[in-house]
Amino acid sequence: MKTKAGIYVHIPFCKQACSYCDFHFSTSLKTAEAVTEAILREIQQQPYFEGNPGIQSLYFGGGTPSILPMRQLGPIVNALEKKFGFADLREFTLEANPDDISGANLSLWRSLGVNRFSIGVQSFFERDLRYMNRSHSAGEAADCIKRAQDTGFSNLSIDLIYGTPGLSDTEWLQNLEYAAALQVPHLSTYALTVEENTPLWAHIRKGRQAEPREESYERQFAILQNFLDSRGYEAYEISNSALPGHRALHNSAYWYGLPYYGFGPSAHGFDGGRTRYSNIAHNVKYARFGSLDEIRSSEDLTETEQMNEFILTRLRLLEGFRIAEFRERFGPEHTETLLQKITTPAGEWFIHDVGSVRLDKPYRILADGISARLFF
Amino acid sequence: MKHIRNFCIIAHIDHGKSTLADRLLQHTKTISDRDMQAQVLDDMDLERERGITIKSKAIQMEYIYEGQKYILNLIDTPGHVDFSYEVSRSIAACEGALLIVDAAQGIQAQTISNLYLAIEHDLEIIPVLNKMDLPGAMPEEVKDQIVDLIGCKREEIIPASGKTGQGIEDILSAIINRVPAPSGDPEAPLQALIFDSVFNSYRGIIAYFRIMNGSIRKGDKVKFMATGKEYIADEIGTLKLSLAPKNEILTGDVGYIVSGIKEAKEVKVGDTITHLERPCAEAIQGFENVKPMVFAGIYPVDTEDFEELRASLEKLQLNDASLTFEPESSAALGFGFRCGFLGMLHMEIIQERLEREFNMNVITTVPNVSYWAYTTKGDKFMMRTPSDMPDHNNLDFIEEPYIKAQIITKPEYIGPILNLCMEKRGIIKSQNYLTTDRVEMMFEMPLAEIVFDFYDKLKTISRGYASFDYHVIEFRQSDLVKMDILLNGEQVDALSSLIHRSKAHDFGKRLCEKLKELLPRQQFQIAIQAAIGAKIVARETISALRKDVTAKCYGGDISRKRKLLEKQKEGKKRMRQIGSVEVPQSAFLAVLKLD
Repeated sequence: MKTKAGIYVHIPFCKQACSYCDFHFSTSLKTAEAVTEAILREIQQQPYFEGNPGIQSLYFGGGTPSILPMRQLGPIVNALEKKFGFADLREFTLEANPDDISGANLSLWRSLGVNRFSIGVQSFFERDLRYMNRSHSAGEAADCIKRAQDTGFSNLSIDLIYGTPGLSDTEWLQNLEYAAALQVPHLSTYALTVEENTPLWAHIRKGRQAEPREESYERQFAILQNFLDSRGYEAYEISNSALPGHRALHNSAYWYGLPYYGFGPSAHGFDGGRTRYSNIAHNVKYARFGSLDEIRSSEDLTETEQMNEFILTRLRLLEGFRIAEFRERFGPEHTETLLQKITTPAGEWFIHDVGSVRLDKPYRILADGISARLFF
Repeated sequence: MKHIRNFCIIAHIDHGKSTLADRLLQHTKTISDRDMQAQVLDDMDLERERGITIKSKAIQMEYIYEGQKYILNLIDTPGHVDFSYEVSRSIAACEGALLIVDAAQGIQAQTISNLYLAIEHDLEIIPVLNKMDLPGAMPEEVKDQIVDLIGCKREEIIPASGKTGQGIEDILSAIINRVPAPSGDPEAPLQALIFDSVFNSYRGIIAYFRIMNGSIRKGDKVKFMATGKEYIADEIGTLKLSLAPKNEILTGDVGYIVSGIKEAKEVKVGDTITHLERPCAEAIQGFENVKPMVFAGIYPVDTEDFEELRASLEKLQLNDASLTFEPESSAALGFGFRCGFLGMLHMEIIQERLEREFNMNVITTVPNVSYWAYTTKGDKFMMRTPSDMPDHNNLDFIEEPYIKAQIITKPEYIGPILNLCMEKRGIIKSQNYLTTDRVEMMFEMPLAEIVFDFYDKLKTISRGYASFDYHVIEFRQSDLVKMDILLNGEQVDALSSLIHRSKAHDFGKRLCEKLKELLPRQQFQIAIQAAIGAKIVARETISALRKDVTAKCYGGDISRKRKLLEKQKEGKKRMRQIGSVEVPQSAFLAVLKLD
């Protein structure tokens, strides 16, 4: 089967700043017009990856793509279709905030071809949403899911965050139960991470907000795993779980090392081989660009870097990786080295079946440090 | 000869020695104002380019005074307790000394011990009250201290300021009028004192000397009496801003000799140069073979750099003969070197030079002193590392080095200092008021106790108003035990230490607590234990890490995450694996940071 590619479009605007977010966005919509124009230019100038692979997934992320009006969103989708063709397109995801999911918007998005939403619910508890400075209320979160389902969108994913101070274990389980009751087939569940230079980080440093506690991460991660098992969700990736048949096609490309184009400020792309690129994370500078090289920096991965990426991405997956695949890409010598690192000094972290290696469930919450130990 | 003056400067660190010396050089036109400017503005690199500078170990000035030309040789003295032998040799090469005292800070211990050395050698002392321009200057009070200390007349003290240039001419005329001219015999056989040496990568070792008797000519065959080595004086000369070759150096003068010497070990400070043909009857008194007192293991962070570390240490030894090293191996740290230093500062200097000049990443283990171990068979041997300790069946007893320590402070800190020294197994020997506001305390204590955290503590409890000096006096019998540290049951040899039995339990407890702070949490629980022999005396536990995973690689930004983890892995590289436990470098010095 011929490799297919994905497309990621970054819409760098938000109505309101969530306190924990360290992605690139602006709450000023002044440059929206100019950024849209620039995205159109970027699509036009983008060279095809080798062999011009067909597009299987399209993902609008941000920021908050759902605040972009149709007159801006529409032309971007059209330009992408014109350039790359959508014959192979199976998944078209739009990230949306609950308060944007109105009946009118839903039908407009449907007309564009959107068939999946990723909704930034985060929590069904009001206090929790305020801690994170989310723009929607707990009631809106539930309503919008039903509204989308009523309009015929069943392929939904919601984000839920655990480990926030004040979120009790019971409440966390209630959040999960609520999502299951709403028949949401895909869950993205994140441990709240206090990233440097976010408002949350500053508030905690100044003592104005409580700091997340490590013990609750551990407990709530365990609650999550139990819940997923009992409700038939498959934790196919550390932060992503789905009912059978509902894995995210687009996001999976990241973990499996498949190619994806990236457009818009701060977007990242990967040719599926050894070249990654990223765009400047600055709306005004991005909007002004004339030729791609003014906003792009690209990086050719060394063999070591490719191996390290392989390890870090695959260990996040339920399936782990097939040893044969590693051997095929990087040769028997490196494979031997890697297997040695896996057996000593802490073999108990891994399940090492014939032919494949994956992280044992209790250790998935430690994936980063364990990956780093395996790095070349 | 009667127009030569040889002098050194005695001063505490920061009392303005270099600035004042710069002024002297400027005033005598040894250095031009333009060069001075560059010197002041620029830094070490410039110094290196010039090869020799006003901050060098010795420099010759010419000065016309009352129509007569004088040669003034300024010989520098290293300012730290670790180098007191070198100081004594510099002093032996002079007839006079400028005693520079900060008008705001008064006399410090270091100054006093060097001053005593100078007085012992009958040097003419010229007291200078420096930094008179400071708003906090207390000239009258400090003058009282100086008068008390050396018994000079008040008016003999020269008020000066390196900053404004005040007093410079007075100092120069005092050097000429008060410091005696050298008094050697020009006709006697050559007898020259080596007081310093430097390494030059093109010319080898350059030795600095002062001629006590006789004279030396270019091309002479000479012999270094202590080492017994013979050389030809390929080049001799005087020490101007750069080396100034001469055909002859006469009695009483200071100069340098280049004779193709490759290794610093061959040039021993304090050695006597004489002629091969017509040697002097005896060497100049006071020569000592300097022996290192403090030992520590130095290991490459990356075990593959062992040979590179050896090469770097060899290069360092070229211009620092007091550094010793021999290979050793540690189960925890791999292959490295047991290095001997004159003292703690010397150790820090070497460590820093390895990192800065040679780009070496090294782990330094906890320093220890050397001990005599007496076995039940009646043998004795020197222990340079805790792992040299024989097991208790074979051990009769241990002797450890004791020092005489001198501390000068203000009366209000006597109590706390006394407590500190007693805590460090010190015994007070005398207490002596130098002035009403300045008291000198003398202690005898084990050297091992100041190797740990003595300086920092002294500084803290006296709010910086205590100065400290010491010298080793003798070895004394002591009840020492070996304390081992175990991580998850595995002994970490590099963390072992020898400690007095009475302090062992408390020490073990504090060390475990400190290690708990310093070891990063890992994917599993870590037990830290302190043991004497098979007996566990303290234990701490580090709980396992609970969460170590970043939420997402948003929008496919895999690179950022990879770089983050690669950085983490780099950090781990600087750690040592003990069993399954990763130990950061800081942990190997944990013992030094106990409070």
